Amino acid sequence: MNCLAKKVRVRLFAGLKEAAGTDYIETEWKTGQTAGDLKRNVMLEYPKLQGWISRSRLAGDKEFLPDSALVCPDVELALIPPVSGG
Amino acid sequence: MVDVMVELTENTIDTDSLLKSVMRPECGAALLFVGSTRQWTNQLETVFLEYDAYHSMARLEMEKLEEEAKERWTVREVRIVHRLGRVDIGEVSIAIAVSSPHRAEAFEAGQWLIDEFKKRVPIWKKEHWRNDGAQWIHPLTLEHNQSDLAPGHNVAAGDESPSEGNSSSAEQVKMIQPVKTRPSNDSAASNDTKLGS
Repeated sequence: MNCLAKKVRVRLFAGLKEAAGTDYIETEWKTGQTAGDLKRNVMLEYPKLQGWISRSRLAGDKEFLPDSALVCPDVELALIPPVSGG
Repeated sequence: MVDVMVELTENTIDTDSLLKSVMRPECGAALLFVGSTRQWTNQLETVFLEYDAYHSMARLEMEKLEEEAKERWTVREVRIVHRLGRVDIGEVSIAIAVSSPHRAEAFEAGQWLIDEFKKRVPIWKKEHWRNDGAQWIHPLTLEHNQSDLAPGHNVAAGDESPSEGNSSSAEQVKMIQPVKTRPSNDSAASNDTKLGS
């Protein structure tokens, strides 16, 4: 897989979207970056969202990713805050 | 009739049709679970709920739930429908229908389906309160929506004011928290709100 450094978009939802004031944020993608790395980077770049992001799960290509998962930037990324459907 | 297994809709959910759609001659049991908008959460009055979703992922997660339920139990048909957008008091927000040859499987699968739904499916509700503005609901833990695991527990209103509602500070995150584990008089937790759902 060829994942070169570039900006990736991460979709936001519900309270996290409202707190950020936008429905996606951008962060720099680095080769070999895991889901956990990406979350940590986003928290550093957006300190005001730190509490939200630490409670959120990262999804890639519409599936929850464990922190150890390598993520290619070509998939749709999203931060999923604790869900409350039902 | 189109055989839709999972559905997200902005329209009223036809629960009668949903129940009928899972009934089969070989099934002696059919079960329907319906979740609806509750007016009171202790002293807080809800005027209506607003649901939003990560649509494509929510559908996938709902399909996975159906497949898993069929692997775990001898259930014949499973249908899950969730409503999005505004849902008024007493209206149905979620309906789950399950059929099985014998009742035990349908009950167990139905219980599991709604519990898992509340942990995994990327859908969120926003409470629109009578006197306190509006607030997205995000359970405190990722693993469980504790408020639903302990039905009937004491729920206390938070002390947040509407003026805090637009704050983007992480400390203002409103969370559901089970009564037993809530630190009392802990300033760090003073903004947490316990809400049933």
